[in-house]
Amino acid sequence: MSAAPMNPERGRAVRTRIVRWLAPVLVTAVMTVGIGWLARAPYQPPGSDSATLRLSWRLRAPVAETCRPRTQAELDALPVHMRTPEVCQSRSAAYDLIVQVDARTADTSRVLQGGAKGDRPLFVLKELSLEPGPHHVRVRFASGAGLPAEESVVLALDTVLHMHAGTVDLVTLGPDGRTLIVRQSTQP
Amino acid sequence: MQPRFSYRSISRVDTWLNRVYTSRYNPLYHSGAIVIAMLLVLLATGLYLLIYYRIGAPHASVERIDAQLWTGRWIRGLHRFASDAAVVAALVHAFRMYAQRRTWGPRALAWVSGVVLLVVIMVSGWTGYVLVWDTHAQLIAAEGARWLDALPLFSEPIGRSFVGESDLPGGFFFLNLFAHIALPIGMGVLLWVHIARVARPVLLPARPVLWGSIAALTLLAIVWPPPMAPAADLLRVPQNVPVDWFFGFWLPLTIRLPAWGVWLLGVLVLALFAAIPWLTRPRPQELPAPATVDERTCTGCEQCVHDCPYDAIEMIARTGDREGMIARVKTELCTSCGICIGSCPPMAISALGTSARAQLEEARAFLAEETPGERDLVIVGCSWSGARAEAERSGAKFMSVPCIGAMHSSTVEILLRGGAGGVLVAGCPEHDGRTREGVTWTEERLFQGRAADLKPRVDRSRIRLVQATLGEKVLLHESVRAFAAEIDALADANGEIDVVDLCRKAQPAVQEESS
Ligand code: HEM
Repeated sequence: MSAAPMNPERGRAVRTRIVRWLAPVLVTAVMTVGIGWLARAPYQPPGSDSATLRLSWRLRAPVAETCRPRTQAELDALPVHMRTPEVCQSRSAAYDLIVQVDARTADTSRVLQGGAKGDRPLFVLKELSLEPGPHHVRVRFASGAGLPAEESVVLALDTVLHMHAGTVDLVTLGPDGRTLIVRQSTQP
Repeated sequence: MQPRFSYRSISRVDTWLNRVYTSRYNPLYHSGAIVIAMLLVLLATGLYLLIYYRIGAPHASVERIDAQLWTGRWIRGLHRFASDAAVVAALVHAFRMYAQRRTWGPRALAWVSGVVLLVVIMVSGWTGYVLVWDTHAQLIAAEGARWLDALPLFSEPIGRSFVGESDLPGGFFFLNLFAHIALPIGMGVLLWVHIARVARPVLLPARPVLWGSIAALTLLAIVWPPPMAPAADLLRVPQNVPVDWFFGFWLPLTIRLPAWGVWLLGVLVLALFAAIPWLTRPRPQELPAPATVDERTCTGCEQCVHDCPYDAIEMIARTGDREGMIARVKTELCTSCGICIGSCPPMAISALGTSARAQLEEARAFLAEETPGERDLVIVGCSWSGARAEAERSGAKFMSVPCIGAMHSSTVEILLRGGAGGVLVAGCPEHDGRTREGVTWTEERLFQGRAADLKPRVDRSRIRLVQATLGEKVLLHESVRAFAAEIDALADANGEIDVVDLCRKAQPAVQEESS
């Protein structure tokens, strides 16, 4: 049995029709795959080949308050609803942070209470980028002058950390709120 | 006004895509409407995701959605890909508006609200990505917090929330979810402002484009669903993050800049983008004046009100000794597109420094100078089309009009009566009208009796309307050649005298009308 030869005109019309259907399908497919790829193309953020030492904690630091009674003249000068018997002045100490890595001073800074009026808790937030490997890390955070000795704060850490590329070693306050501890990722 | 380089560039892409999709279904022509379609897809798929999302276990709940092979996985994928398509379509739409010089004057409102819409889409996308709380989310959240901390707004840096000291509170995810839902609702209001000055806005793309794009994205979501990145770990630098570049294209740049630099750059880019209506406004000497109505000739027929693509014409009661209504142009809304010139049967409207009466005079002068014969073709087109170049190429005569929509149908009649064998009107594709509805109305005026219609006595077989972009030279050339052959055949069939004679017979009636 032999197949009847196809009319060349008809053959061309069929081909044109196929191309007419195929072209938009192909172009749509390419655009769609383009969207799919650009919606997931991987990105390597900087910092993945070094280790990070992060220091972060928040502290409601003690405030020294000195009060004295108002004089009669001061009371008279105030509107009735503002005549409190005492005027108080609160003073918080400045804190000094010193970070040493492998006996080299990596950071020293002075930390003050937060907020525009200095009445908010203080916070520390520092990041140091280090070579992966073991590092001897010493941190000291102590209040300067201005507070009674029993209220002064000293936080310290002296440890060797085995640091890995792309990971963060976080120095933060322990659950007791008085010691510095190191946290590392628990994920494998 | 001449087309700018950007218009020539998109016209080249259009030419190619028109060949693939036909100009009716070219997705680039439907870009604004595609954004709306995608926003609707986002709404539908987002409702499903909302049912399963848990702010207390963000990553685990998205993982659970992703594990639903028959539903959750592709719905999540479609949600993501539709948002990507919305960004692409919005950028294409904005670029087209710029290239077509549809930016300044009354369109400034649409432009500026468009910029805000784009920003809202972006921010809403970022909040959506943070909800997943994977490594991609971690990157975006940390960058966002770094930028916000540069502003003197917070007593304590919000970046401290992302240091790994403690788990993120549910409130953070609740806030993100709230923003992710509230922003798109606000988008509805913005969209209303965006199209407030457009009459009969096209809100959805042609059906094949609508369903075709949804089907393509659904297929993508089934066959190649978005990856599920590992959960965020604030004590690790994320590795090989699968970034959605439509929303995160800025990451490699901003991550290296100080936060103030990011703000400076962002504000500069946005300000420049938003200022385009004022930067692209024509110089005062080139600024086209709004349309004007000659109150002696206006018959109050309201056709211009129906045709104006910007709702810039209203009818008001006449004052003085004549009764009835008269058209009044709201100059603050008029974009000087000139469509009303072609829509006015008594030729009472002037715009773009011309009028239908002036056009008829130009046509008469053209006839006197060019003396087209019955085998000659006259191509009528604007400077934004390839009409002039095609006339030079094919030896046809060329008559210029500011826009095909601004061409009065009587101009065609005058040209035919003046001896031209045929008139080929070259306009831009219907779905891409630079003056929105110009070419649509002209087609209806010439062939479907829309006022101001071409009179029934005029032989339609001697008129062609071709819709072609600036780059569709082949299409235009083929149409001109085919039409010229038909005109030749008509001349052969009719003999020399018939056409001219017929036109002469019709002369008194037309003269009466145009006076
Ligand atoms: C992001 C979501 C957006 C949506 C959903 C959207 C949708 C639309 C729609 C439906 C129209 C009416 C089109 C017509 O019927 O002719 C329109 C007009 C317009 N759009 Fe957008 N658009 C968006 C973004 C933008 C952006 C980013 C810009 C520019 C920055 C922009 C600039 C314009 C302009 C100038 C017009 C008016 C065109 C004219 O008056 O001729 N749009 N838009």
